[in-house]
Amino acid sequence: MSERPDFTPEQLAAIERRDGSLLVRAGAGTGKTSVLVERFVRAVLEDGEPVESILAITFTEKAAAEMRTRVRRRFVEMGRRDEARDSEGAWISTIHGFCSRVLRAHSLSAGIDPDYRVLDALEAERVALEAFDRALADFLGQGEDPERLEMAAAYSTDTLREMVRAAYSLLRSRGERRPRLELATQPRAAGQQERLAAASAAALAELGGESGATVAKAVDRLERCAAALRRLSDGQLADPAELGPLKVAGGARALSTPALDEYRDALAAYSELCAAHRQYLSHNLLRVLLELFGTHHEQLKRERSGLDFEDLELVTRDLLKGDLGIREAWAGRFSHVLVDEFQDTNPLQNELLGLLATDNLFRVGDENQSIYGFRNADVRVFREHHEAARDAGRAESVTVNFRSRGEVLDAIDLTFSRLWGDAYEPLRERPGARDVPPRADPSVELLVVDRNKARWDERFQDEDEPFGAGMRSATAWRAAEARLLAKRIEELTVKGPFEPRDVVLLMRATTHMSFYERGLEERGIPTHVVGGRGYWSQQQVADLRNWLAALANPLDELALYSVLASPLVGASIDAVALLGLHARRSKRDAWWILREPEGLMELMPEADRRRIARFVERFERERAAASRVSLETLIDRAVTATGYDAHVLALPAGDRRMANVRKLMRMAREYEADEGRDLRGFIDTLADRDAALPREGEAPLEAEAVKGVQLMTIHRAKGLEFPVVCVADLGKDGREDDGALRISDSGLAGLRLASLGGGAPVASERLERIKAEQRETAEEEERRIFYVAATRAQEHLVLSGATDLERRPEPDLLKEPMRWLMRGFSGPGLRCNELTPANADEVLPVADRVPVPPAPAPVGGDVQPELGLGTLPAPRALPVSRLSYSGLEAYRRCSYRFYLERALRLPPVERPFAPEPVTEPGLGALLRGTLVHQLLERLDFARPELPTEDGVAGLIESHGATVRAEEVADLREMVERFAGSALRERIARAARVRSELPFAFTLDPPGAGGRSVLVNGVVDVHATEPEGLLVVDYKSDA
Amino acid sequence: MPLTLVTGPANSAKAGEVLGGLRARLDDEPILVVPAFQDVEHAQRELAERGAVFGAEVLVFDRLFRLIAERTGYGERVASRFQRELIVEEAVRGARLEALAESAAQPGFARAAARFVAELERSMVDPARFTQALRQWAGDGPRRAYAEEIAAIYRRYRDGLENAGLADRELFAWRALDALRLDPLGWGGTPVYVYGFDDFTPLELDALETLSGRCEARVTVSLPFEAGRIAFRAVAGTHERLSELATERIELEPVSDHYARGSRDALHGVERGLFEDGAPGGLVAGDAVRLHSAGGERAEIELAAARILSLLREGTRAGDVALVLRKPSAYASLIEQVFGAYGIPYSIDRQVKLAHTGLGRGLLALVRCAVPEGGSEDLLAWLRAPGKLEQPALADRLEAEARREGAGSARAVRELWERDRWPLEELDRLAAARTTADFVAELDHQLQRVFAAPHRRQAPIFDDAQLDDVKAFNAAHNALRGLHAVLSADPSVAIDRQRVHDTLAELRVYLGENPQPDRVQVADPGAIRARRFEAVFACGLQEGEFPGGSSPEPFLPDDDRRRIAEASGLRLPLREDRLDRERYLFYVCASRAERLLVLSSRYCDEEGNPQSPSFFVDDVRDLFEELPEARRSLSEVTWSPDDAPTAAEWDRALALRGPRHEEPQPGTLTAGPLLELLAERRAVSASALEHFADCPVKWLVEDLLRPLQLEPDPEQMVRGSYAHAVLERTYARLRAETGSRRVTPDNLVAAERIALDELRAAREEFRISPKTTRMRAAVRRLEFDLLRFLHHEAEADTSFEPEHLELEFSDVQVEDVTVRGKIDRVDVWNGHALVRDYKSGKSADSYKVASWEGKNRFQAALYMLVVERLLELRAAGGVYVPLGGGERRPRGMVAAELKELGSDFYDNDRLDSDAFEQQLQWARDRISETAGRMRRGELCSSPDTCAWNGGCSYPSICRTES
Repeated sequence: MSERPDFTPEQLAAIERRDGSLLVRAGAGTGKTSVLVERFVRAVLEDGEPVESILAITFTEKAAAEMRTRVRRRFVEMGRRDEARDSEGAWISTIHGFCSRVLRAHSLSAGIDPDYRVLDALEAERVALEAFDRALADFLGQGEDPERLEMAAAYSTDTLREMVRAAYSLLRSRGERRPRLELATQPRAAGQQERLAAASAAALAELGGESGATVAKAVDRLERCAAALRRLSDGQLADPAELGPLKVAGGARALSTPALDEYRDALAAYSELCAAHRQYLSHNLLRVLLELFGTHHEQLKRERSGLDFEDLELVTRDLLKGDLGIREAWAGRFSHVLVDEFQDTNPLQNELLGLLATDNLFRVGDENQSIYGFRNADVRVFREHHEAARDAGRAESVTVNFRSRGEVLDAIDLTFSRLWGDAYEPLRERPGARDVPPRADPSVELLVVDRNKARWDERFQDEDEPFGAGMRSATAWRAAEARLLAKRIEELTVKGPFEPRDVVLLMRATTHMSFYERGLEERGIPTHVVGGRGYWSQQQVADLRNWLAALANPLDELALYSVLASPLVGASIDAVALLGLHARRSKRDAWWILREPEGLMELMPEADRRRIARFVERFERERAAASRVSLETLIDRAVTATGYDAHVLALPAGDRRMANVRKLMRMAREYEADEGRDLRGFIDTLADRDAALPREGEAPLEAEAVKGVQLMTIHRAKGLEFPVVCVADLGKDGREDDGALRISDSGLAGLRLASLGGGAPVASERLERIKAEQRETAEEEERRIFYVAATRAQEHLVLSGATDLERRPEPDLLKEPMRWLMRGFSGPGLRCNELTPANADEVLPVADRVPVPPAPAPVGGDVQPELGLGTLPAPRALPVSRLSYSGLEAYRRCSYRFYLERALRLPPVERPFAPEPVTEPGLGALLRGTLVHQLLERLDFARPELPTEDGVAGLIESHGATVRAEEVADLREMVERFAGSALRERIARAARVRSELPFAFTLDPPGAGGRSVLVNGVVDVHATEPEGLLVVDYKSDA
Repeated sequence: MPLTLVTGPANSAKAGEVLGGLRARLDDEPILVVPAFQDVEHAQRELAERGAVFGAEVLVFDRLFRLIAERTGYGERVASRFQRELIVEEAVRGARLEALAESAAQPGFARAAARFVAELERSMVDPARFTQALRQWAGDGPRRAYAEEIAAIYRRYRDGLENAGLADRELFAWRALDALRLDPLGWGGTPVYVYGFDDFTPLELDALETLSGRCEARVTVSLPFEAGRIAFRAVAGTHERLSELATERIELEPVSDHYARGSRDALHGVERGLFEDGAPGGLVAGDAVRLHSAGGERAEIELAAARILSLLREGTRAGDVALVLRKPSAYASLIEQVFGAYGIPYSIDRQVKLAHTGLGRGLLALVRCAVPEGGSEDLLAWLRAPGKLEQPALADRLEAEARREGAGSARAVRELWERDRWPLEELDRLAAARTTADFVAELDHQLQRVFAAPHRRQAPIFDDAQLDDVKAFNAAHNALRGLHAVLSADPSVAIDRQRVHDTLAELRVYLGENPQPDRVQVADPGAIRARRFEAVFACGLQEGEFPGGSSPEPFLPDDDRRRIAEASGLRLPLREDRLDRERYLFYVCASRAERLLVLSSRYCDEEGNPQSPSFFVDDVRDLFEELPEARRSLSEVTWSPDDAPTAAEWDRALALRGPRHEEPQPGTLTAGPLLELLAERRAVSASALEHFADCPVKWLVEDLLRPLQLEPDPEQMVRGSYAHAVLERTYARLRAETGSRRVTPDNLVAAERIALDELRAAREEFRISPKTTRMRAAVRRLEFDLLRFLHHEAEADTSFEPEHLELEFSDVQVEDVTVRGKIDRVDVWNGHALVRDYKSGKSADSYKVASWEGKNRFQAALYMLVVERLLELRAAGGVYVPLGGGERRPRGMVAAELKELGSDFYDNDRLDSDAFEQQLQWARDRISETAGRMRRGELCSSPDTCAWNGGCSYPSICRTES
């Protein structure tokens, strides 16, 4: 088979070892997707495995789509169209997609709703909030247990909710379908209280003779301690938060005595006991609340036939575990199971893979790129399996990097080998990775700013805004860094070898992104923030939400005033203020005043009068139409009819703003598809989304449309690559999860102990222990995040941040990463540019500290008017396209009734609005007529026979009607009457008789836009007589 | 008599063959069977296009089965959809499920079971055979219980039908055919022509076999099929089955006459070569075949709409253009918006849930209002139902009241409504209905009332939008009538109101319009398979959409069906040929165009996530040398001026490319009347001054406009007012009951008792949250905070005593400003006054005097100045007192030399007399300067100090982007 020349021996080994399971460690940029694709293709072409017998699991939908396309393309390249066609239905998906497919096939065995749906993020959030509210209501009950209310009051219901949800989600990711906390045992008191009472008394006695402010303070605390202990009833323990203020510091001579030391020890021992006791109480209460939450959460999802993403995995796991037949069927179906991004797998997902695989598991990943701990991914899964695979000789490594220049790889390898030692497998450069000289030399540089605030303040004490108004609210060192980095990017782009679009600015978090963005824009460098800014805070979104809110209910006056002041109306601030005053004085709502504005309009400027009058007329029309127009159209009409679209498009970054408007229209469309045209519901849903998903990103613009420097978070950049990568804000302190609850690997919960006693909540000893355990893991992940950032660079890498350049402090998890990065990225071929208050004028002169933004170049405006954009004439409605004779007759009798009954198909209303219940009459006129026609159709005109009573009854029943003797008799009598008639005899004599003869022809009424009316019907009797035709129409109601 | 099988690829004149044959036998009153009801009229028109026709009847299979029943004398009542659902539900309930119990307890189970039994009947499998087959499959293995329970559901369903004396649609057809087999002459030899199908159910095949075989009727069936072609794989099974029955086979050759000359080679080449491995390729696309590639759904539909618009402007008749989507209803809203904006007339076949229409939402809300669980939004939705209220403003007002008061239930909102408006008796009538049948009747009555009310004595002609109400009304009215018929015919049918609600909620309303010559037809591939168009736009060609994903049958997925067939010989339909079926449908789309075929796909979704275009696009691409491609990216929010399809789009294009402008910033108020009013104002409040100092726009909104809002006040604000009220009342009562102004260790117990009394008494007055649980927790927290506050007060070593509580003042002159307001508390000692301002938060640190200037905090200073004027006392300090949290000490400024103030203050807040006076002077200047700017209406935006947590509070009014 045709082999691609660019596979390295390492890659080939990973592709060709298909004789069992294999785990491949593939570093950044080493082409692991190509390896996966090739392994897939060769398993089919060389081993003869059917395409549908290979399961490939990717981490994202995007990766699945890419892999499917590449597999098919590879088959086509090799001229294997059949396999290419088969690959269209190949098992390539995310693990959630795979689980969903399994559950669709076995929903009944899995015990779920066959019509189940996967809840989207918003609905899942709503369900969780509702479940917590219900759980809390059950938890508090009718107040029978005051401890529970105390707990809710002490933590606040919001904090409790976060604790419960965090625990629930974490435990589920560990495979617990119905999460539980273990039952805590009560700590035993061992005389700590008595010891403290004695110690405080002894200490007081000893200090009796002493004097001085420090001693007085100590005495006061000892007395308060004694009093607090006296207040406690038997068996009651003090609130740990109240004990903190009772500490007596040492130091002063009078306070450094054995009695005081004993007091301090006794207080510490007693505090520990009280904290342990509080932890015990809170833990067990939280345990109850968590169970209640789980029960309601399950119930609410069942009511909606909904599963969340965790359910997909948990339910599939239980299905495969619990039903051997199904498990064997699925495991037997696949000859190969390929898993991408294995380092991001959590224990539950790993368990699932274990249930599917039969020594045919191919896993590829890079533990150095495991950065999804916050989504409960667990890098230890990778490590354990890699170790086992290596011991079993089933591990391979792919280390040749195809992405970055050799100089960049040198720096990355140097740094991370220093950091991780032997555990780090260096990236090797591809042949020719240095053939072309770098466009900017050196390829790796550090920009380090002194982080000492005092020194900066001192240096610029006489300047009001030393880094310009744009940086007013930034700390001096961060403002300095943003300016310095912007200057460097200008050197690399505007004045250098790269285009702005080649550059990406990566940051750990979006918190300070706007300063760096401003730094670039104020130098005239275009920027594009990828999903960074909050969608909800965008002005266009706020304007249109207000428009919709006012449309739904103009008594929402803030929305109404906002609409008036926005370009949707364009009223001046004077007009808005006048309206407000007028409304308040006349004690009417503003909308009422706008419609009855006596005395107001005269006070307004002419332009406002016109605008407001136009708005009121348009808004009333829109209000009337609101329930009948799609939500998306409502927004589009608001934007188009008011000229808001042109306004927005003409603002800076008009296309991004307009894209945000279109995103809101899409949200409206999606909401309407789920919930219908419910304007109020949509507005409330937007509010919920705003609260529940505050990180909603702005509408994206495509990379190829982006002309500027891109700014994004490091997580967002995973899997991407850029010619120039700048990692910024490396002076920002790290942060530790500050949640009130942590759960250890062994499932123990540690709590921050809140109490009504006030004071800062005390961290329980267990919480401290768990935090210490998890701190190292968190630190490792933090460093991996910067590894991911650095390995995005193809040609040039800039690391920019701040640290104290005088003290050069030791690295620390909770401190700025520049501390360790500076140590790591030091060596030959690396440039380090330091900026301090002392050298500011030389490294960042005033022209760079406060750059003057270039005037925007005038664009457009000279386009000639387009012709031929006239609208098409709307088609004229033709109420019916088909007519029967009775229709024509009905039209003749009353054209409006015809319209109601035949065009609109409305039911006849004999007595309008009569409150009598709907009833089914015996035989309606219509059914009676049908029956008569059927009986006469069966009549032999030559030898007429009266139908039997049973025959008629059977016919009536066949129409689902109740048989009544008098109606049977009535029908038979009608047939009998006709059978005895002269007409029947005449028909009998005819040369040819055709009953129920259908006919059809068309008419083309003028001005019907080419539509024609089909006239059709049935002739009851069509008899051919020597003299001509006899046409008979039966009338059963005559 | 023979069964004639007419086969051929698309465009091989099969219709001519079948309809020609039919026309030739009009004297025998032939029957033409077509797939769907919409096809009936189309076929009748085709037959009548050469003049009136007599004798030919056009119908669908259901009607054919009825005709067979009529002619053979077979009759049986057919269960309505609702009756059928009830019987399935009963069968599931009665089957005493264990293995399936968990799934069966969920709402979708009965629906899936109904689909499953219908499939079994269409496959003509009776319960005994099915049970036997499943037992043979499962044996005594792990699936035995599963198999037994499925079989039991089917058996019980069929027993249920028997017991009710009913048949369902499939059973009726099945039995009609049995009757026909017994009485083949009953058919009377009427010839049958079958056209437009590419698939038949076993029942339909059985009908064709029986009619042509037993009844010896002439049956002619046309089937699109060409041996050996991948495009027809999905039809091969049907072809094989029909070939076995056929005595005559006519295989038609493809013809290319009908293609437009310039497009003939390309379009004919697509039809001939699609999916063929040996296809020559190298076709020249010319103007006949185009690719569209779009970033997101909107861009895709806009691209198609712009091209369609130019075709129509060039003179193409709208009815000769089709836009084909695998699931048109998923795009209906987008098409409505884009085609509406571009002015393109179109028809679309779409259904929506009754609950998604204005009228339907109102009706369902009414049902919910009649049960105790009804929510506030339900009553509002009922009152907002089109036609319910003549004045929507009444509903606006009610909604405002309900939301502000946090009224959570329909009952609570009804009370609000009936407080000063007419009673909503319809709710009582519904609640009072004795039986579900009466309930349904009353519901129907209300439906008629609300639908007709706005039109009474108007004789209106409805516009397109109003027609949706008519369609919703018809659907709901007919459903209610059907329900009522079942309930009144069989009193033993026990369903509750919730079930009535669920039935209506599931109801679908057909909002589409039938295809018309003057409208672009938006349809799925099946709907256009019997027609040709000048231009066909095949859109949504995405992986997972077209071809679509698989949907296994939940009771017996394909793997099980295969094993059942192996074990028992019972062959149930499989779904595994999904891809073949999708390829066939794509072939249908690709072969309908006479002049232009556009294949449209998306390379990313609206969020920019990459999407895979359908591989079908590659299959077509492979046939051509190259295909011209039009691209519209996600970023193209406008067209280029040259491509703009409408005047509005052209304006947008210019706006984006024209000169940039900035949002106007709020400037100074200039309207004379306003400035006069501001100048005339006798007094300004202290809070207004601080608001103005924070951000003048915030002041404009919160102090001048004071807009009514629809949400309850924030919890923190209510909590603050609650705390103020309780403390004021506590101190007042303490003084009355103990004679002491201060809380002391001696009267602390009494103070606590009074505070708890007042807290309880005021609880309803201050609803911190509409949610009871939140409120209980918050009140408990407040109770604890206040008790601790009283403790702290009792321990204070000050000589000052609370003298004035909630001290209101107005028209007090401070510098050149007249101020008004209310001071929480003033403590007095020997001619000195300490102003206390309560803060309900956990800490008052941000109020330390050192930060006053930076943060514009001059309220306490202003109160100090007021007290000096008003009470003629010397200000000893002004502090902010935290009511929550652990740190109880107040922050602000106090006179350092006054030891009588006690030790409860931070050293940094104790100012010597110079600093004290300086700070007051700063406040005087600030107050005077702020009031001056306020009087002059000097607005500007200060987003950094506007909202409490930074950022702008009113971006739409302020227009400043932070």
